[in-house]
Amino acid sequence: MTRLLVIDDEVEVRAAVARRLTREGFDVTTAEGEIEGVGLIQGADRPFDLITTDMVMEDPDSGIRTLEAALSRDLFTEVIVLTAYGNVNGAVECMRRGAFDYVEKNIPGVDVYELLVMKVNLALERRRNSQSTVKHYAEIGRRHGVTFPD
Amino acid sequence: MSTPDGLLQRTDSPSHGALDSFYRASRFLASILDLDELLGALLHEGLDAVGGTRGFVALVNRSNGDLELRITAGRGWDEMPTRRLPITDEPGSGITVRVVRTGEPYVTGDVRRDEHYRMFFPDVRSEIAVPLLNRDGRAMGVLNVECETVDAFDGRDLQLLLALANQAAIAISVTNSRARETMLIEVGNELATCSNMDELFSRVVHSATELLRADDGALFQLNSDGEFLLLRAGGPLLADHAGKLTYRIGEGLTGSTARDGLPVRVANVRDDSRWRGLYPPLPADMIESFLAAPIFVPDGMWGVLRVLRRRPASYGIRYDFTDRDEELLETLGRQVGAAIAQHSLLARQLRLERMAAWGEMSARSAHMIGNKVFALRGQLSELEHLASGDAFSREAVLALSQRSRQSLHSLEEILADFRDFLTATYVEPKPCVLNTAVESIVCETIPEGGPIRVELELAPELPMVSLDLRRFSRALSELLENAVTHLGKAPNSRITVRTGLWDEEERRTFPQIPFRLSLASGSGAVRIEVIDNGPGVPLENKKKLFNAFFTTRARGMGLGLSIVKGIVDAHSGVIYEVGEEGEGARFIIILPALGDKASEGNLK
Repeated sequence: MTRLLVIDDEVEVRAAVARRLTREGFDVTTAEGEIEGVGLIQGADRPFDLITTDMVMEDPDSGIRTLEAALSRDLFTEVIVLTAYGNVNGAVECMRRGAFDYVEKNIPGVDVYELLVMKVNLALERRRNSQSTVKHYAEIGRRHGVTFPD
Repeated sequence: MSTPDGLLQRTDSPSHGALDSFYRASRFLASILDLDELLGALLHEGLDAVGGTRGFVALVNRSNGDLELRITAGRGWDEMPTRRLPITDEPGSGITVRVVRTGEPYVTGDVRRDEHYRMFFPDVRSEIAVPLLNRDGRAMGVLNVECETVDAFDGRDLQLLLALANQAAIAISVTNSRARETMLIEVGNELATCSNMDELFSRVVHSATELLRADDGALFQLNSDGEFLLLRAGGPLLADHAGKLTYRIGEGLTGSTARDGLPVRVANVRDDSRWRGLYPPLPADMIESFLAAPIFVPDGMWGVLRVLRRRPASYGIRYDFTDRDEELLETLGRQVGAAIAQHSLLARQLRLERMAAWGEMSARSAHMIGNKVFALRGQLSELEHLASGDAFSREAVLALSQRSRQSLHSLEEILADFRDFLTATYVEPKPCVLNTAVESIVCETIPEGGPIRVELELAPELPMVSLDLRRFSRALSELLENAVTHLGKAPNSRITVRTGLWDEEERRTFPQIPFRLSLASGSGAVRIEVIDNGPGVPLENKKKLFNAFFTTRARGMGLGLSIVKGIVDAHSGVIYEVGEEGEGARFIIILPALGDKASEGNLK
């Protein structure tokens, strides 16, 4: 089952996002901020497939540090950054550093949860592609006696 | 009049005694600061010195040009029809007028044979009149001494009176310049603290007019293109023209001042080719002397400060502005320039601060409101999902609506924060028993049996205080919630709420709290302390603690403590944080006690 981690310091936001993604059939874990989130990322037996994180939590760089923790645990973990009004710059910075995409929480007239689900599915597809590519290279490597890192 | 009797007496050895008396008298004159007192002493000593029986001191009134009798001595003055003598060169205008006009003393042994004499009293026979000369050698007044006997005064008497008059004239000058200096300092202080520019301008013009004994004053500001001067404030005659009267740069004497950036001083405007007579309140031939000084601010020329004197009504009297007048006007101009520079600096700072505050406020509120709205939208779409699908469950709907209500509540709290921040200073205080109020607020805010222990240490017999209970309750509960937040989940968390008097001992304990009771009340003060054993406030945060939008948490608007301070301010109190970092926070609110000495002890 695909494992997702939802990190947000607003309890209602966390609950709403988790509920919606659970409904989509994912195995969702939640964390109330950078500290708990990074702890879960590092402590998990198997890396999360996808992480959604708020940009500003304990401080304005919480989102970026969470992203870095996720990518250093597993380069192929997909990260989607959620931003409330006024944090698009930070979210763009996250994408530069390897996040899959960002989702603005407030877009008038748009069901942002639908948008989020769509982006989650796209991100997971990329992850599967990446993983199969790696497996493919690993297979080639094995055949030719070369090892690739996991 | 407090002149000691007999300070200057005729003695048996006239030369020595008179000289001695003269020294004492002149020292006495120099010690008097009040003008009328000084003139009174001069007259008294003068009469004493020469054995006069009646006399007066008259001063030239600069605004109407008449001689005015300021001080009189002897019989009959109450029946005098007038105390004003027009200064003319007509025959029979009087000895006193002649002395003012010529600046020379005059002695007559028999007034009945004197062509210049003008009779006030039929019994006068001898008269001495000596001028009071200012530094420029012009008469500002006359000391007049009379006697009922013929040839009562000799040359020695004249010498004595002249010496006394000189001493008095010097004392008057000193008094005047001292008064000017004092006024200048006062004006400087006022300008430095004045926040309303129009008020400041009027004050400057008023001061300049008064200090320079001018008939009218004006303050002009250069427009932004530097093309013309606009009247910002006018003296007694020009006040109504403020905002309307303009001069082009280089036009007339005022325009020239602005063009050249130098003071302009003209004794008689009609002799000056730059004069255009563009002064609306009076016909051109009514103006005599002109003095203007440029005003500079750091960016360059700001405007012109100017004073005028009318053409004197009397023959032979001149009121030119002096070097000292010019210096004084320049000083005033510099003071105005400094005040304007400071004011624009303050205004700019304030604007920047406000802009920063608004920017901060909109960013934070957008972020917080955005999050809440996002959550609400999630709950709503979840509800829709539930309603449309087969998995409809009553419990799930109720749980979701409960969560939605919570989100709405959070939004309302944000709005309430804004409202409280904006209205914190509007209070309607009523007499209250402090301890009762504190106790009930603490009970309402922190439920019993929670993880945090709350200790109440309420001092008995405190004086009553004047509180807006609703607002004060908001302030105190904010402090308590603040403590709860910072205590977190640490074990042995404790909050102490303490009340007591704010007395000398407390003041010595907390020298950093500058709370002094206003002189009006004087009935003491009380303190309310909220102390916790959490992490405390780092030194570098103590000053910012009560600023709006200051917060050490990423969540929250950072309005809480600024609301508390606003409420305390509105109760004429102060709030300080005096705890040590690492030992916990300690907030002290000090409120003035009510003056009626009603104490809680009496009330119970």
